[in-house]
Amino acid sequence: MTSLRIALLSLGLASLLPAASYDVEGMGRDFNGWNRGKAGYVAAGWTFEVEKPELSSDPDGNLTVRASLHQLLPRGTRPYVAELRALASSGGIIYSIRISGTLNGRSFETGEVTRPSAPEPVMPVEPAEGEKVEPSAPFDPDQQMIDELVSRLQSALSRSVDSKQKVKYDLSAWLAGGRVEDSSGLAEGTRPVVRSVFRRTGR
Amino acid sequence: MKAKHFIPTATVVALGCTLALPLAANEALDILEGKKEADAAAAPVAADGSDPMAEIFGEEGGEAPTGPVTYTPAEWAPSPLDPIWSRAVLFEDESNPWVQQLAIMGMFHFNGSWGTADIERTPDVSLDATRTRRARLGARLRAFGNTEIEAVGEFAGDGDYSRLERLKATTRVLPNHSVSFGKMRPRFGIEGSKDPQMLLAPERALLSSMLMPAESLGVMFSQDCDAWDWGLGWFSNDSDRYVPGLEGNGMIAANLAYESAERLDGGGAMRTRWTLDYLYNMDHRKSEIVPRYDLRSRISANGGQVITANPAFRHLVSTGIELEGDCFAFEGEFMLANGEVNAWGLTLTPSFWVVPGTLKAVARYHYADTDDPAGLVGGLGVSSDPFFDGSPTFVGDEFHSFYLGANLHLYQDKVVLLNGMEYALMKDDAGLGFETNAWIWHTGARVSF
Repeated sequence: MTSLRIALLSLGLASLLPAASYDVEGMGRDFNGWNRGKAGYVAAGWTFEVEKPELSSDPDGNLTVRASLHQLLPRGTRPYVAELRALASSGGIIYSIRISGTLNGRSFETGEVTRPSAPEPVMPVEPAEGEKVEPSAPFDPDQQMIDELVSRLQSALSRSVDSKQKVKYDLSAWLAGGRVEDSSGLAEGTRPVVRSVFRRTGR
Repeated sequence: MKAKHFIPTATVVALGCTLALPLAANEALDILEGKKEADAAAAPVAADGSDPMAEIFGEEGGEAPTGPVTYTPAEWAPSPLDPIWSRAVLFEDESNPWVQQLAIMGMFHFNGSWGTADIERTPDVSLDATRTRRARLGARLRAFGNTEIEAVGEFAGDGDYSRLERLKATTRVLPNHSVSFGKMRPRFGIEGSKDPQMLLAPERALLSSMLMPAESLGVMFSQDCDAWDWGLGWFSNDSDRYVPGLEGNGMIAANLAYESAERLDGGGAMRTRWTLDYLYNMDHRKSEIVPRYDLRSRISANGGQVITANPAFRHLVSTGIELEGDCFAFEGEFMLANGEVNAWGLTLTPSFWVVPGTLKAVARYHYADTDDPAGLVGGLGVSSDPFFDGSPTFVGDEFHSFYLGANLHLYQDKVVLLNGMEYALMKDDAGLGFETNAWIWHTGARVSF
């Protein structure tokens, strides 16, 4: 009986501990609503489709969000497929994010982008006479992570398209025309999903 | 004279080279004055005939390739059929400690041939036929992190051809070492060892079909290193449609291969693979797996010659070379079988991607010879493989075959249409002289998953 009480007490306490959460329906609203687990959107001149994310939590309340998206071309080809993986602390703060996937059959990876720490405060310097001092931009770690991730994604995709890896096309690939020649726009088209993941992760 | 705030690097280099040679000083002045572009300036040549630009930019203006050569085959571009074919994988979870993958696999091969065998002193024999050449269905299981189990049934053909084609397990015992056991075919020859869905021609060459052993119960130890591969095993000489038994002394199988990459002049690379396969049949005449067909008491289509016995081989050797580049490939192999009957031959198969990934041109020359009258047995057209279809069967002592065709890849190597023309010549000089020649048109379709 004593052990049962301890177990029940532990469960009760655990339910009171903070844990990260994710608003899946809210993410669907960001992209015109879920339709059979998928939502489409247009960005940077391309049409994309994002799938309902997979969520997993650990006993400490940390959350892992896995969101998949792909570019849509006519006849259903998917030359660009990306998976975003975000790790959030129990307080609902994303501290790590990465994107991996394939472009034209070749894999790419951004590496992990981690949450930046707040810069150390700097003593204000007296401006010279007549010199105008621009106020420094407020520290926004979420935006910095998003910009860093999209920048790395653009580099990874450019390397993937320019790489000397040879690709051969069978008749079905020729007829479908499923090849991305210019990767610019794909990274920017992925940005809305990244922003949505940040926006919909909370406590 | 116009001054420029920024002079491009190329201009600086061109100037440096031209100024280094007094005869090109006027050209250098023209570049500085903007009357001429640096690119348009003639490359100065030193008094000793050397090109000073080469010292800066290299022999042909680029970096000389260094380091080890690796050949990377081209990948298949994404296709709208990818999601359909990926459904063959029923379960996949690399983190599962017991079962990592379960997939179904199969193949459907439909073949047609049209032609006439022109036989001396006897009526012609029609080779027109359409057959379901192969209809296979099976499963593949990856388990325990180091074992792959395959089971495949063949449902096409008559008699012994429809059978349990494969039931084997391969376990990786060390990083590069593996052991395979179960019902499987010993590796012999380039064409004989290929999966049927990867064959370049609709049918294997006559000698490949004649010497290829049947599947039987066996065990193979193999090692796959970076350059060298080897395998050594033993197989039972019992042939059974389902599960063979352990009969006789069996057969020893040994394989050796060496693979390397060569750099080509255009900057690309080429894969080279040399193979050597040896089978030692300890049961000789009593073997049921070499040859894998039984044509005793059959009457040949050329001259009505009676096949009194299946050829009995004790030693079988095959050595070959495979070359593969971006657009071309070449396979060449020499085979020799020695026993009561001796037979040997070679097969040369160049192929070329006319449209990379879509249309491949294939040519094949096959030559087989023997000292013994009617020592060569085989079919033509759809019946090329005597194990699949024993009629019509032709016998002789020298065989030539020229094949030229094109393969249309609808979806990777998994959906392929094959078409080609073959000229076959079977000489029968040592026998009764019923020489046979035939022009045969082949059409085939292969679907695999």
